[in-house]
Amino acid sequence: MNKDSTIISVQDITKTYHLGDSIKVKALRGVSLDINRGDFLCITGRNGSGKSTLLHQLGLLDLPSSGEIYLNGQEVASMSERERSNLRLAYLGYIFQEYALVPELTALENVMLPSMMQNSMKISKTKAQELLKKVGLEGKSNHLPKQCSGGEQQKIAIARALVNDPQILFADEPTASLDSVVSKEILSIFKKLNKEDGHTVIMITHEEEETKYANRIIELRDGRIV
Amino acid sequence: MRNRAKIPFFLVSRFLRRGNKWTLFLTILLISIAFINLLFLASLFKGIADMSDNQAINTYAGNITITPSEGSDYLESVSDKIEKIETIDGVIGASPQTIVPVTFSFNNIKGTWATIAIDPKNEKKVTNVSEKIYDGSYLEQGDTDQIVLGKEVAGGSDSNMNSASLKGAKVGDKITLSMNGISKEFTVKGLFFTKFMFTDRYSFISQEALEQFVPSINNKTTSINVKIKNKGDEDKIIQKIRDSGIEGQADTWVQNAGFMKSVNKTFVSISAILDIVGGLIAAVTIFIIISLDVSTKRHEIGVLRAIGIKPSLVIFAYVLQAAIYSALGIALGLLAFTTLIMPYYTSHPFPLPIGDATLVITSADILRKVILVFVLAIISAILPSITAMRVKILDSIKS
Repeated sequence: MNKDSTIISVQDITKTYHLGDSIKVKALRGVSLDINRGDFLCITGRNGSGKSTLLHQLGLLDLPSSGEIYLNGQEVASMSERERSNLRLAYLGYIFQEYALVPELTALENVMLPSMMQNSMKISKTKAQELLKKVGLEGKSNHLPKQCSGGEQQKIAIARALVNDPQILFADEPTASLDSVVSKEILSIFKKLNKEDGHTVIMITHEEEETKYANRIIELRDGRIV
Repeated sequence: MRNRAKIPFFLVSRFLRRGNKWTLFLTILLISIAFINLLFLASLFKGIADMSDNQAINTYAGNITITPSEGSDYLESVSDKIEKIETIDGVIGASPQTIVPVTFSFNNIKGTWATIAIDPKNEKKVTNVSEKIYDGSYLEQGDTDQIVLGKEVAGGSDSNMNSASLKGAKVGDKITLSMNGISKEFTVKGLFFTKFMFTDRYSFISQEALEQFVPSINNKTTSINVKIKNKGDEDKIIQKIRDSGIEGQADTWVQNAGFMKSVNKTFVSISAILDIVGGLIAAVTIFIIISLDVSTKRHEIGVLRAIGIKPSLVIFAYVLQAAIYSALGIALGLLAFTTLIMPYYTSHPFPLPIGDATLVITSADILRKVILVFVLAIISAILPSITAMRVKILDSIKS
């Protein structure tokens, strides 16, 4: 990967939420940002500063009210949901605060599911087994999410995010529900994925301690980068 | 592309295996109850309509009734006609019936009850009244001073119309019949109960007994009833009767038993209305069950969308799940209906003034209801799935 090239470029995006007919909440007030390949970017800020809103725009999970977003040079805000869905599948991986695993699927099945969109069952299974091994869960393949601890569930979510070998990993406060020991373990995995495998990592955190894993930090306040 | 197509089956097999077993059981149970309700209403009214048809044919009029042509009071040369009719392919038997305008005198009761003179041997081939004797016995050839009474003519505490009856005439009782200025004593030979109220208000004497009052009626009658092998072939047989040169007016039991036509029409109308009501109840029940099930999966749907599973595949997964629910519900409902409910009501029929109604349903009707429930289940899954797709992914995940 070319570390200097821009993978995501954001031009003056805003996001306004309408609560009822009269109340408008301006979550983002004109954010511009370039993210390079191989960056480990931490987004920090207080509650309500617009961190999650920005992450969701960058991760194509939501659309900005105005402004432009480029992914690998392609403008994405004007794309259809189907096109964005294809981009999400091919280039992006997500790790949510509450793991967001499918409860009826085992660890292995949760991980292999996104891969089945592009590969055979056999290939998906092999890739999922390798990734579970990579995050240290090879012995938990056949466990359902409810049979795993919070840390283990988050590791399954990381393995799932990696199964289609995405260019960018988005993590929304991935350690918020975990204790400090497990949090360090999770962050070390992110660091390794960034350093050794070249994945661009964009992570939201509240903890200053966790920003040391990043090579770049931005802070949001009232919907603007400060 | 083929790999993608496997995703809905992959998901549904896991949902069914590892989802909440109680939810699965209750969903299938409710669909089966909605399906049984549809079958029950349709089969009850089909059972009543069929029973009333069969009662009219088997106890009252046969399939075809031949009456004298306009201008004649009687059909002549009855024995020849009967012989001819019975040679027609598809005919089981033919029997003359002559309406007798007699007056009854019994104890202090005097009145007129519909009395019919029959040929007992032939009558057994056409109606089943001889099998419905509950006391005494049926008429035989040569019974010139014997009479059999319908339950509603004999009366008694367990009859429905005791006040308009002989109020408890029994086998062996003597009844005086008067006609044309001649009075003759008859012994009650038997009492019958067909459960068809129109027939149970009749009494029967033999043709020979009638000839004692009206000697000139020998080999004449007011009508000939014809029983055929297959209900529905009436028009074909009527044509054959005409072709064989038998004079007279031949009508089907539907034309003849006009009072049943309106009863039947009413049952068919009620059945159609209840079919719609049952269909609506099933539609609402199935829609609520399936759409509630899909609505509770909004979080899961959000997760599947977020990790890049195509919306059409997610929708297909939930539609497939609903199709499996409905297939299992239909199978369970059909099993319960055919092995428990129908046999129960066959041995415990609904008693009605025109007979005992059981549940009757055709394979075509079952198939229509199966398709209805299946289509309803699929629509019920498609609508909330599409709605869930319109919700923002993040809102879905948070729900």
